[in-house]
Amino acid sequence: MLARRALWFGVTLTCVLVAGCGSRGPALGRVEGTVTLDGVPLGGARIIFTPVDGGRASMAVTDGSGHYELEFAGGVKGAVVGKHKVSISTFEAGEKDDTGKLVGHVPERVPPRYNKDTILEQEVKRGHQVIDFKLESR
Amino acid sequence: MRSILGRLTRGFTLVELLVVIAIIGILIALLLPAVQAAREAARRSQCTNNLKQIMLAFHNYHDIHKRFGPGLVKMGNWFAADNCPEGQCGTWSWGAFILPYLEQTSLYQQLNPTMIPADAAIQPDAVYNIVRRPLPVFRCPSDTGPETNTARKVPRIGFYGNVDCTTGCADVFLANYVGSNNSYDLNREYTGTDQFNGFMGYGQTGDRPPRCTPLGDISDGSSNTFAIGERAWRIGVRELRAAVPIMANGDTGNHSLQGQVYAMACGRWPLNCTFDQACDRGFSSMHAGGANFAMVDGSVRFISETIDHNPATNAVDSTYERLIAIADGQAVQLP
Repeated sequence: MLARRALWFGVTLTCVLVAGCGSRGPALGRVEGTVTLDGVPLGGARIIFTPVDGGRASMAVTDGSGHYELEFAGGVKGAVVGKHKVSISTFEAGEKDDTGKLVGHVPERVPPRYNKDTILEQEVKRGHQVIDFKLESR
Repeated sequence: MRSILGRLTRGFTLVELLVVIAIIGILIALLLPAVQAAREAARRSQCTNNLKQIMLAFHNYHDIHKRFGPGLVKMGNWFAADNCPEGQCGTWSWGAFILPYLEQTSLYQQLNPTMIPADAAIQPDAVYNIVRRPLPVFRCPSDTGPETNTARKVPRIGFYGNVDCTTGCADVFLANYVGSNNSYDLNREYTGTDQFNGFMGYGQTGDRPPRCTPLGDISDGSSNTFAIGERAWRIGVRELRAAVPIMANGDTGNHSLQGQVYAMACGRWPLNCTFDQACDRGFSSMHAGGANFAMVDGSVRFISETIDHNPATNAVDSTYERLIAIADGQAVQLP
């Protein structure tokens, strides 16, 4: 009996040691959702959640159906728990080549109140959450 | 007597055997991560040491030329890199100009970066074979990339390719160190109000006006400003394509795969990000939780990827951006 108890103890200890103490770093909440502009899914938009109290911003790019899932860092999904300012933009400045032609320019489709002078604010909580943005170009 | 003899010849039970196996298992489980961690720690310290050597070379260069080396030029002090069409012409980046200070004088003389563009310099097979061999000082041992950078190739006479060198061109040794260019997007402007605000950018040697930063321009303090950082070959499934720090593709304005990105990184893309292919313009590393950065004063710091960073605007308004900008005038406390 003692041997069996020792065996279970060993197995449990091994599991605990292998699992470790979990990852360090700030508390994160997973965030995904859909961005629409005037009811139409907005693809290729860059979405940035910037924590109001400082810290690393989380970013994503929407796919063709307007869906995004925030990335905190390489391989880590989510955003810092707390209040965020949200910026959504399709703008790419592009660059001039030596003939003066603009290359890689993507015009801004989203009004400035959603990016430069953003009014969007979101609270990110622990766990998983769906945050959709219904933008209006008017 | 019989009972002692019996015990001696009895052998051991299955449970006893399992307990022994479990104990050995625990010991291995304890040891294995520790061994792996120790190996990664050794690799990281080698990586740090490389950055230190590179910064030492930069300071030796500065002692002689009174400015840090150029970030990207077509050649010497003749032409800026935007004279050099992608796929058809090779540029020189910062690593080439500090080679003599990294005990690579013979390589420097063979390449001759002050006299000829890179595509011409590597035309002879003898020279090309040399630049295919990895220079350990430019390589972070934690990184998993191949010996030559097959994702960021450079034009070579006789082996020209398309603008982003995904067809044609030639592969040279892979490196993991990139210069700090700008707190927002990669920036090739060196005059006017929207010029790059980091340690290096377009530049020419000598006293020509395009910028090679002198130490005196680092007004935020040389210990609080990034000079060189890391870039990984790959994180997860995202190929970040590392770097090539002695030469690069041409750089006229091809937006996605320009030459500048071969040798420099910017702060628009967060440290170690993978959500977009454009993350290959930022800093990244295979070290868990951050990356090494060499400060302008030559100290090397490990910067955590949880560092305060706001890439939503081009303003210098977060710790990461303040560390990149050399003269933003804002006090910054290294985390």
